[in-house]
Amino acid sequence: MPNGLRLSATAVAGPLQQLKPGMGVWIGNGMVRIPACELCIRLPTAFPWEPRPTVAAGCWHRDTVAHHAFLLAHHLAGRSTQGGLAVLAGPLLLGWTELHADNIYPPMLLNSSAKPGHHRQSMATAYPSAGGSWCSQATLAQMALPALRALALATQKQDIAGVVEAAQRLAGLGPGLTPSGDDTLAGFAAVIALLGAQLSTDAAPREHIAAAIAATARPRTTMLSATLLAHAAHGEVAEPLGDLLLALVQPGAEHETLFQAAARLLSLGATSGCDALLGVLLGLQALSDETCAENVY
Amino acid sequence: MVVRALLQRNAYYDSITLMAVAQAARDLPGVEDAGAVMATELNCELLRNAGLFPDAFLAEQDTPPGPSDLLIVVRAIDEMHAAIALAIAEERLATRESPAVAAPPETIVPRSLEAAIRRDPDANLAVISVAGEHAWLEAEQALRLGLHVFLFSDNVPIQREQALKTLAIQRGLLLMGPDCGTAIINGVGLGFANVVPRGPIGIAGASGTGIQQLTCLIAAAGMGISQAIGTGGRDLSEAIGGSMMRRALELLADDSQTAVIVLVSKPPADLVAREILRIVAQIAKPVVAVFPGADPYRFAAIAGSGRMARTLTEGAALAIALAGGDPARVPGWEIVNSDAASEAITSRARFHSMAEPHLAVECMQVTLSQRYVRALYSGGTLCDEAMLLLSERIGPIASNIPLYPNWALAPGETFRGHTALDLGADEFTQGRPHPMIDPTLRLHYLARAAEDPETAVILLDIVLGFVAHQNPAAVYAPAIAQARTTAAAAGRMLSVIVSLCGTEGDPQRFSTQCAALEAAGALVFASNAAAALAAASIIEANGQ
Repeated sequence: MPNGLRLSATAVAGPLQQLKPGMGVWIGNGMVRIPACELCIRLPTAFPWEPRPTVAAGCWHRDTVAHHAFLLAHHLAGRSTQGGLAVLAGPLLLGWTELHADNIYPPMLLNSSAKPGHHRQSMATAYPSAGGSWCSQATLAQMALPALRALALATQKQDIAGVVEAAQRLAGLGPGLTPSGDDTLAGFAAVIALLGAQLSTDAAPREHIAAAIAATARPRTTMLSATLLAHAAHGEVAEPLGDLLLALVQPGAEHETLFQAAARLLSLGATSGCDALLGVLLGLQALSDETCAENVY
Repeated sequence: MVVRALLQRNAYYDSITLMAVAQAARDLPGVEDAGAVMATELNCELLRNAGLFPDAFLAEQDTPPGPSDLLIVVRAIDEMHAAIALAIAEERLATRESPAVAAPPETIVPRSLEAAIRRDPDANLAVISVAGEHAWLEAEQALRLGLHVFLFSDNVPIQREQALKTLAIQRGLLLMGPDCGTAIINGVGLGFANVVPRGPIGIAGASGTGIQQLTCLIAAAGMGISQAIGTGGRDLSEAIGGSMMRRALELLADDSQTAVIVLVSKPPADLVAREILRIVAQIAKPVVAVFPGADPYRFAAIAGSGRMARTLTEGAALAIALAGGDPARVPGWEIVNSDAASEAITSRARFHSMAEPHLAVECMQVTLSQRYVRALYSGGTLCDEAMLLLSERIGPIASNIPLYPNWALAPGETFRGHTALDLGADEFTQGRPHPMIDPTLRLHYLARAAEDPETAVILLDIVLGFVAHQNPAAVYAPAIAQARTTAAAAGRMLSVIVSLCGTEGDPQRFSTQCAALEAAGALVFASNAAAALAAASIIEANGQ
């Protein structure tokens, strides 16, 4: 987290017990002040954690990134039973036409000659209706899929109004303290903000698109989620997400680093990590496919 | 169907809690669906689409719910089931708020060191293995709370290690580490440890696999271990000066269960060695010191009353003899002993004296092109020991941890003549598990060594015990068989020697692993020194 602090001294235990979520905290000038508890902590001169991954340092070869994104999309599609939006990985990123409960095998083979027009999802067929299933997950996915497609398309065209409209349909959507839709938006926004210049064909930065997403979300979701999204739009992300973005740039053969980073991200929260990864992969797709909206990897 | 809901304003529960609450509600009989979501506009729409929106309930509220409010909704077969579900959901949330009150203690994982100690005030040891840059913080906290520390993590900055060890000594506590792979305290193994009986021999070690080899050989010879105290790999460096080793020696000297002490480490700096051996001289009990990989004459002058052993096998044998046991029972003792005793004996006579009939067969069939030994080690100390013995007999051994700087492998070079690789070294373990846990990298090198027509012998260590791979033979035996078959098809006899470090008591069982490896055609030795000498013999015999 970009605004977290760990202290080693046990002597401060007393005052910290009064802390409640929502209290204002002031950080700056080497100090942390919590007025509600009359607490002022001087920070050591230790090097602060940098939440913005150093993407400029890597050589962002499009082919390497595309290949890694392809691998991760499949990996994520296999995780759909966990809840959240991971179930959309197949239809959204890999051109699958139907959602399946276990998503182990795509209903059609990875066929690069498949025509874009055939990619229409049919959710009604697929969802399990065994007792105790989360029927609402199907509903969640049904609501999110078109919005995510629209988001990617609008981003490619740099259509701010379209981005805002799509974000309005995703911010605050889904279970969790950071709703699934927000986590996906965060992954998407981080990629757009950090890699917009490196990976798009016109090499223009796209932070304004990320900022628009965060601004749209602000009134529509929990305070925590809105804050995290605002940071993501500045390229400031949780460590596992930052590590994954950097792992994308590892040379093509080094899959272990990539999958280890992915594993760490996917285990974040209940579904936050999976949802964020979906957003990351969608963002990469949006940056790379400037021409065709419904391209598959 | 009935839809009922409850609303909590300004709620703050983590996602996993919310998910668990919703799932718990859904699992109840009579409940068709349930949700626990923050009341954002879209979630309200979601609930509506799922048939879960509590219109009537929300209409009764003073103000409509907002994004920071929690809405729990259930759809059940009737009022009663819905009410029960909501009550259970609410209770679950309440227990999350004050876990100490409601939920049974064993289900709650403490989130801090202090909480863990409150739960179990008798705990006196912290085992820490988080990433090095943060591990020192945890270790410091543990020491300040009065706990001894086993610090498995490496990459702890040296200044931190100095500060931590100073603090530990001040407080009379043990800091085993950083980069401490093994310890056995009061019969309990920490880190990579083998199952060995209790007994009169105590070990103080700055080398994890060094400790493991010693404990296994001692156990095989029928004796046991009182304590094995790890000090961390850097303890005998100049910067640290052996502070924890000193403490470990003091403790063992005072311990009534310990009759003989063995000290093991990678070769220390001269200054530190001098200081440690000076302390050793003052200990009344017999002390054996082993620095595998060191030139045996280097420390002879300053050894004083400490007995210097050249190899771990000799160290184990010496310790056993001093404790009143029979050194000949140490595996590999005969081989190592005869090697040490011999001076100008020809290699052919040497290997005949090893009484290993299948070894003789292996020597006979090696082709002329095969000239080199390729050693693939997971334990650095075992690699050092092997390199010392091999180099004495067959010449320079190229390595990523060379005994001499000019024996270093060039970047990008895999093998160069006789080669010994420490695959547990940093450059091989970035972003991947250690070879003692994950065999992938070693299998890769095994295949490459087997393909190379210049390879005559492949030597590798397999370490058993807790934390190590649960069945290494299942992975290595097929690979070894495959390697030998491939070589045979090309007209080459490829010898594979395994230095197997483990005991019958280990989860993997020494005998089971040994049998599987031998069935695949490997020559298995429990003594790493004997394994290295066997490899040398094959090379020498081929040379004649």
